[in-house]
Amino acid sequence: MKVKYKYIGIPIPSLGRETKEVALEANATVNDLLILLERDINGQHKDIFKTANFLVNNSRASLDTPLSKGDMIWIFTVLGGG
Amino acid sequence: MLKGYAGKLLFVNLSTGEIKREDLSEELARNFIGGYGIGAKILYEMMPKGADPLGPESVLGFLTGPASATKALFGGRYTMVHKSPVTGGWNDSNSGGYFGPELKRAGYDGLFIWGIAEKPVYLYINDENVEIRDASHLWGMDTTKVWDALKKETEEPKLRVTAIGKSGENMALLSCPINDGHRAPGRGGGGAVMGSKKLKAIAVRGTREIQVANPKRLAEINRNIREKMKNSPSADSFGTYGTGGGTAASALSGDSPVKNWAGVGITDYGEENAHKVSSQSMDRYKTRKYACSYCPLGCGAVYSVDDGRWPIEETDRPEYETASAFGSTLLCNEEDAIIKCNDICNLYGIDTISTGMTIAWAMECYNKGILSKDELDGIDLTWGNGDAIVELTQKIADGEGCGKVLSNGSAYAAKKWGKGEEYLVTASGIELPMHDPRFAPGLARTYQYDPTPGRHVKGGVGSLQMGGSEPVDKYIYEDTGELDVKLTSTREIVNVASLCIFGRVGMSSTTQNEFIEAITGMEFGPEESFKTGLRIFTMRHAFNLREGFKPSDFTLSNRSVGKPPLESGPLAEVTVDNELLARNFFDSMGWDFETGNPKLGVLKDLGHLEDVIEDLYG
Ligand code: SF4
Repeated sequence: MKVKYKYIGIPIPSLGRETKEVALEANATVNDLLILLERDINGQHKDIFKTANFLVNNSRASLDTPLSKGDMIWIFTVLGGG
Repeated sequence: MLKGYAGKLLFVNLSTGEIKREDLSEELARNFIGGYGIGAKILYEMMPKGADPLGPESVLGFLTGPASATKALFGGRYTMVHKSPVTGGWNDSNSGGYFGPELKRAGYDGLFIWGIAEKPVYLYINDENVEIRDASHLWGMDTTKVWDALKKETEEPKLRVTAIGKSGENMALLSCPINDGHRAPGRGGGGAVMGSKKLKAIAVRGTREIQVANPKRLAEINRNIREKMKNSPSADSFGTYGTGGGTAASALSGDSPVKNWAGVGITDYGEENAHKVSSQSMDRYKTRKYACSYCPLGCGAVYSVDDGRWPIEETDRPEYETASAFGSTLLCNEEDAIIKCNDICNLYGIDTISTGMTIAWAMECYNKGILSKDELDGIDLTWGNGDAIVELTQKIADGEGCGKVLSNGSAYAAKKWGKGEEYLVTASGIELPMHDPRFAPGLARTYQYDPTPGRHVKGGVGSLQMGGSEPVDKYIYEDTGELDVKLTSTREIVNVASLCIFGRVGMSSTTQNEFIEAITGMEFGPEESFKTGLRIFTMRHAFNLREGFKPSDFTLSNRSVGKPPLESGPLAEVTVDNELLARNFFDSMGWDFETGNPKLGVLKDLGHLEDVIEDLYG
C-alpha cells in the first residue's frame, strides 16, 4: 500500500521536508515506515527518530499505530527546552 | 578554599552607599555550588519575610557558578535572583553572554544589592574598584545605548554591561535587564526590581584568571563534549539555526501554543506559516552568528533587515521562545513583525515570552469582544495582525496608554480591567513559556510547583518528554515521582554550575558533576550531586514557604492542561492529570502536599538547612 509522509524537525538533508510517497506492506505501522526511512538516512541519524512525534491524518500517533492506504504521516523532531 | 571560585561576594547597599566584600565560605560553595543555590541561601538570610520586592529590603543577586570564567564549555551563564514582583515568591532567571564570566574575573562569585538609591545610579566594578556612580544621564536610554555610553565613559572597550531600558525604569512587571546587547535573564520582573532601586546598569571589567583544580581533566571533559557534538544533527541544527530552527516542528507537532493555547498548529496556523517564522526562513537576514563565553555551539545570530516595514540595521535573531510567542501564539506569520518586536523588547528591556503572551491574552479578549478597540487605544488587535502587534509591543515598552496596564502582564491587566480572567494562561500569575504541557505533561508539574513557577528551563520529567534520548510514554501518570525528582535535581546542578542547558548536545547526564570535580577539586559523585540538587531546590522552596505559600497557592491555568481538552489535532482529548504528577513528586520529595512542608527527617538528611529547620520546626 502507498502512504505519504513528511519530515519536519532537526534537518536531515536526505529527508528534505517535502511530502514523499512510499510503498509499505499491508498492516504496516509507523514503526515500519521509520525502518524504511532509516535505510535512506544510512542509519546515521537513527537516534533522532527514537524520540520523534507522529501524526497520522492530523491525529496523534505512536510507533505502533497501524497505517492504511493513502494515510498522511507527519514525523516531527522537537528540539525542546529553548 | 576550593578552586574554581573567585572567592569573594560583593554586597552593595544603595541606600547608604556602603560597599563590602566578604569571603565566600567553603561550606557555602560546597553545599550550594553557585548560581541560585548560593543565591537562595543568602536571600533567605538577608531578606525578611514579607519584604516588598520593589522596596528597600528587597535584595537583588547576580551569581556566577564554578564553570563560569573557566575553560569549561557552555559555562558562561549567570543567574539573577530576587523576590518576584509578579508572583510574590522566589525568582531566579539566567542569561548567557559574557557579563557573568566578567563579574567572576573581576573577583566576585556573586553580587548582592539592596536599598534604594536617591537618584539613578549605575554600579561600576573594575576588579577591586567598585563605585556607585551617577546615571542621571543614562536614564531613559535604551539598553544598547547604555552599553555604548558606558564603554566610552569608562574608556573600557571590553566593558560588560547589564542594563534596564525604559520599561525597567517604569518598574513594569514585564521588564528585565539586557546584557551584552541581546541576552536577558528575562522572567519574573527583575527589570522592575532594578528600576525600583534606581539602578540603571551594572558595568563590569575583570582581568583575573580563575584557577581550576584539574586543568587536564577539564580539557578531557571538553574534548568528550566536542567529540559527541561531531556528527550530531541536533548540534548542527542549534549551531546553524539556533533554537528557532525548531519553530516549525514545534508549532505543528503541538509543542508550541497556538492562538493563545486554544488553537491547533497544523490546522489553525498551518505548515507554510510555521516554516515562515522559523530561523531557516528568517535567516535570510543573518549577517553573522555569535556565541556566549566558551560555547562551541553559538546558537545566537545577528540580523540586518533592509526591507519591509521595519528596517533595522542590526538586531538579534529571535529565539524559539520569541518566534513562538509572537508567531503561532498570536497566529502571526509576519516575520518582519516578529523581528521588530524582538528588537523592541531588547532595547526597552522586556521579556519576550511574557510580552507575547500578554498580547495573546489581549488579542483573544479583543476578538471575543471583551476588550474594545477604544480600550486598546484604537489598535485593531485581530489575530495575526503584525502592524497591531508591533504597535502594541511599542506601547507596552513605552508604558503608554493601554500599554501602561499591559506592561505589567496579563494577570495584572485582567485584574485591573476586571475581565478576561478565563483567557489567562499563567502559572501563579506569570505567563507560561512556549512548551505545552499537553504535549509534554510533566511540564505541568514543573510549571506549577517549581519554586520558580512557569519555567521551561527547570527540571522534571517534562524535559524528557519534550525530546530526550530515549522514547517515553508521555501520557502515563503513575509512578512518575522518582524520575521527576531525579531529573529535577540534575537540572538544578546544571543551572547552578552556570552551564547552558543546550550543552546537552555534547554532555551526558553526569558531565556537570565531572565539571564541578575538575574545576573545584571536590568529590562530586552522583549521590552527592543528587543530594545537593535537592538541597538547592528545597532552599528555593523554603523561601516560598516562609512567605506563607502553600501548594494550593500555586496555580496553573486550566487551558494549559487540557481542561477542557482540545477537540482535534495532535493534542486532541489530552487532559493532564497534574494533581497525580504533583502528588507523586511531593511524595518522592518527602513533602506534605497540603502544607508543602518537607519532613524534618528529609531536611536533616539533606543537611546544611538548619535555618529552614529552625523556621519550620523551631
Ligand atoms: S548554546 Fe546558545 S545560549 Fe547556550 S551558551 Fe551557547 S550560545 Fe549561549
